[in-house]
Amino acid sequence: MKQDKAGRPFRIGPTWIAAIACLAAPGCGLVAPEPRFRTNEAYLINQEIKQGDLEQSDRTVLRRNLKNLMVAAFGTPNEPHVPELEGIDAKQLFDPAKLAIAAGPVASDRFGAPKGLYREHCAHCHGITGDGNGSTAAFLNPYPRDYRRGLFKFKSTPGAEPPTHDDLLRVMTNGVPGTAMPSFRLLNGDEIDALIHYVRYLAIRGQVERALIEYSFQGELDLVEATRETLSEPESAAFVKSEIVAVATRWRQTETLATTVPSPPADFESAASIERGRSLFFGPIASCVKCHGETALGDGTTTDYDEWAKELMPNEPDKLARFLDRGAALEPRTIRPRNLRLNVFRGGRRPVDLYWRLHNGILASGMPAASMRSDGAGDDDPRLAPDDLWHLVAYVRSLPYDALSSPRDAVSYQRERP
Amino acid sequence: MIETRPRSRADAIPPQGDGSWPRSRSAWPARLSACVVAATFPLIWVGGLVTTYDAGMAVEDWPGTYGYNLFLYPWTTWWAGPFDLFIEHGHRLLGALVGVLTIGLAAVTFACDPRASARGAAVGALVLVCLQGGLGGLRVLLDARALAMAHGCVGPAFLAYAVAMSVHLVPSRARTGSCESGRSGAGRVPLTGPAPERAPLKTAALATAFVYLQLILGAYIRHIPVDASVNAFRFAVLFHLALAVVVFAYALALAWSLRRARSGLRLLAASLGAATVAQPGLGAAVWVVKYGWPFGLSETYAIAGSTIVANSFWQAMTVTAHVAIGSAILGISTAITAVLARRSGWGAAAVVEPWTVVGGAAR
Amino acid sequence: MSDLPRRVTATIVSTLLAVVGCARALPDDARADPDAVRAIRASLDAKPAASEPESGSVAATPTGFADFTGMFRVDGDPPAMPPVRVEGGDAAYCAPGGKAPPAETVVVGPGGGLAHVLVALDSKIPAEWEHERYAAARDALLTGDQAFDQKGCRFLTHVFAMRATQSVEVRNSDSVSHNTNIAAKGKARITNDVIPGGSKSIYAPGGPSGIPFDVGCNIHPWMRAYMFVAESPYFSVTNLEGQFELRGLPAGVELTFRVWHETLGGKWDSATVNGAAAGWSRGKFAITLQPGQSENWEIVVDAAAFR
Repeated sequence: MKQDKAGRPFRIGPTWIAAIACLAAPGCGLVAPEPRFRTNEAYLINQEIKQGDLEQSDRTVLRRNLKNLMVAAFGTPNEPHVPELEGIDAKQLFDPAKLAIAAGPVASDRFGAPKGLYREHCAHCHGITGDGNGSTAAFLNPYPRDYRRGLFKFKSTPGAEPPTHDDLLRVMTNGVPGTAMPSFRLLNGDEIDALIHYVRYLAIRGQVERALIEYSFQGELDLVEATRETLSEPESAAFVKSEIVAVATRWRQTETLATTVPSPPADFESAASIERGRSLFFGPIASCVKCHGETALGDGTTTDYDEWAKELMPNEPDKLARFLDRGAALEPRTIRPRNLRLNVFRGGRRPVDLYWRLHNGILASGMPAASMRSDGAGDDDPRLAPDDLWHLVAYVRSLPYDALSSPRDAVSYQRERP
Repeated sequence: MIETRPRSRADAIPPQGDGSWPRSRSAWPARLSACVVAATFPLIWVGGLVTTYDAGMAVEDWPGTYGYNLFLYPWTTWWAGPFDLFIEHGHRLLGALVGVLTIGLAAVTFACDPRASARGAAVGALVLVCLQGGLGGLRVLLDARALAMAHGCVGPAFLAYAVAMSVHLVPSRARTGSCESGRSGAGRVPLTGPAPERAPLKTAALATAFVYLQLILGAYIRHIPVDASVNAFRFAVLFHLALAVVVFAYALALAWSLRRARSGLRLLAASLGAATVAQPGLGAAVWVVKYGWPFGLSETYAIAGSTIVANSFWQAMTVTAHVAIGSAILGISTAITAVLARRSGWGAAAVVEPWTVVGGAAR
Repeated sequence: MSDLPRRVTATIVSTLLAVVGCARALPDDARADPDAVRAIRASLDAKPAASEPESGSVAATPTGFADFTGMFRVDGDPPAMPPVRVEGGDAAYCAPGGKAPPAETVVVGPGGGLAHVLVALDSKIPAEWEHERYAAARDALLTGDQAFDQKGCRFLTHVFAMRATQSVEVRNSDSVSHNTNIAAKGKARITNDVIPGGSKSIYAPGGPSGIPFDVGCNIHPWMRAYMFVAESPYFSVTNLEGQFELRGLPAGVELTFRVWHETLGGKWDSATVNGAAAGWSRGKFAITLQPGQSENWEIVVDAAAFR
């Protein structure tokens, strides 16, 4: 052990480095600039791969024009903005007063009325841009949701339709069990409402950005050729606005699109109902067994990716590398069909929640919508009737109480499988 | 093996007969210094709560509170007001208390203790407490999370400083003796048991340094910029975990090596050991209450379906307890280092050592 | 004692500095120009003019009709297609005897013709310019031969094109279930329905997709096809001979066409047309046909482009 002249047991090196680190570490953050919305780099790369690479200089121009356009249309994280949308009750979608509560830095006034709710509660995982790429994201499984596609999993509307206000409220209030998404039931209603408006704002913003990227590559509004002057011309403004209106209209219309749920049959969840559900589960029409597996442990098809990951072309390593090298996305993970024996359903476990999941599917995850009988079709139509779905719900709800759901039995069952 | 010198009240009586240092053995500086420590620890706890509830901007002005003088803000409004205002204003009041205590300490030290090292230490404490108060104020005025992090790093450093100073200010015969003759630099008390006493001191100093680095990392994780990259958080967390192993090993080795020390030191060592053992569990609990079960444990039958509740009482308490125990570990290991340094007779230089390590605040 | 503690300290400290100081860096992002933002926002927030001239339409009026046909030929040896990765519960059915079907990324016919190339009119034209031959099928349900079918756990049409006004029968001629995940773009509707073996469902896109998009099956992740939902009736996908044909095009006006292939995307910036280099821009080119003209092209693609 070396000693310096004063006989101290360790030399100045590490001690002083430590001392400097202690001072420097907090200091480094001092220059932190105001947070900004980030450009959808992943989708730009995706479109370059699909539609043809750009010259480096064109890339720069495209990004700058896109950035100017997006800031002009939607503002910044500190000052969100929405252009006047004719023919749309935009206040129902994103009320400026509510956006103001959710946006900006965290603070509160003397009466406790908060500001900056999104940064306080959401941004660390979902990212300041709502890209699901917040600083904690890499550790979380599943990854935090990327709002920018307008795709949400746990909702009452079919296909890729946006979620209704109530759908978002349900997820905010209940959280998503078994994931890092917490329940915000301790926040008051106005705060949750403000956050829902802000999430919708981020989603619509992201969808418009994606559309503009697509249009640029298709040449409809070529952002490589564009300049500040051409972008401020009425024609391009009208084009951009029509796109915002188109996206916003879908979010307004979705409130009427929630799938109506018929009342369950009289024998719902009786032994016969569960047995009927079981045969449907293993049968060819519902085809649940294909992905959720014979054990219902979610061990059927396990090599698929969800819609977000698919955009990174995970099966083509050289293309995937382009996304990861730029830090534009997190390492894609394969999606696991739900283990139905845990009694945990991320979108809720009420019968109506499960009915919605079965009827509409979970499009973003790859779970397809059930093959439903068309209206007025008789029993000769092999596809599913609403009562069949209810029996399936009954069977799925009975699975956790099945003898096999004790983990040890399930494992031994797996071993015995041919 | 540490305690070789007999120690009693009688020993502590200063030898001088001419009364030249009549007040040098006054216990008041040490007592006040202990008060500073006692007030600083809850201050850190409340400060942790402020961060946990993101209440740093609950009062938007500084040094006043919504136009009122800090001390004149109506207590009924404070008591009955929103929770974030309650803890933020409470944090400010406690901070002011620590400030006042530190000023008192400086005054008493200048009045009672002629040693330059003691006076220097008191002035240092005053400087640190002003710096910390200023950082807290700037954090509010500039609304900068980075300053909040700096504020969160200097807090524990001040605690460590206060602890080391308290040890330094406790009067003893050896101390006064060395001080009297130490002016010429000649009469330094010789090392009593050179080899055996060095090892625990070095371990203690390193443990303190590591604990402080660990606290900085923790503060960084808590105050991570809202637009920080995934890698920043990933590195910070993994590094916090790796350093936890190092701290765990050092702190337990230190506690073990002091198992036969005299009772005061042994008590410190025992509490260090207990806090060190509790801390990783708390850290894991923090992860679970904030981000859910890691490593796919949420798919485990027994704990499947647990839902995190944002801003819940237990979430806040777990996180704040982890922060507070971290500070406690720092305080205890600093105390052990200071006691060991003093007992091994390195004089003022050695006592100051932990401060240079931990606070970057050289004499 | 060794130098170990010192080394530990030094390592920890330098990593700490690196982490805290530098790890915040994200991929560089463009910065907004305040002046440009102000100008664009003023224009966005302005009330729209009373009458908006329709943009992107062709100014002249057509003088008749013309045909545009051609073939894509690959020059050189195209890459061999590896078999797709078949796994999961249906492997025995989908790859009988362990023989999985080959990928269809690049399909070249015996005569060197490049299949699965989409050639479509890119210009927006008014409905009255369309040739009357297309009127009958405008709102048709594509069924029978024209249906979108799957058999042997592969889509029988690898690149499928239809009009936005039409709808198509999505069939499953297998005995195992599929789900047809139509990940539409643009204004076309996204769906993902289970289609049990021997069953079918109807897909009505409702709007043009602008670009071709992926169709897949989540039960069998190796299944892949592309769909294109066109606004106009003028589109064609090359067959195994590499041939395409666009008949009854409006003549006398400049028309922009778009060429797309799975691996080449819209990357075509140059092509050899009838032996001469033609300047294409991202798979687009413009031509003006004369009434009654029958334009026929031979487009040569260098096999190296697929690597």
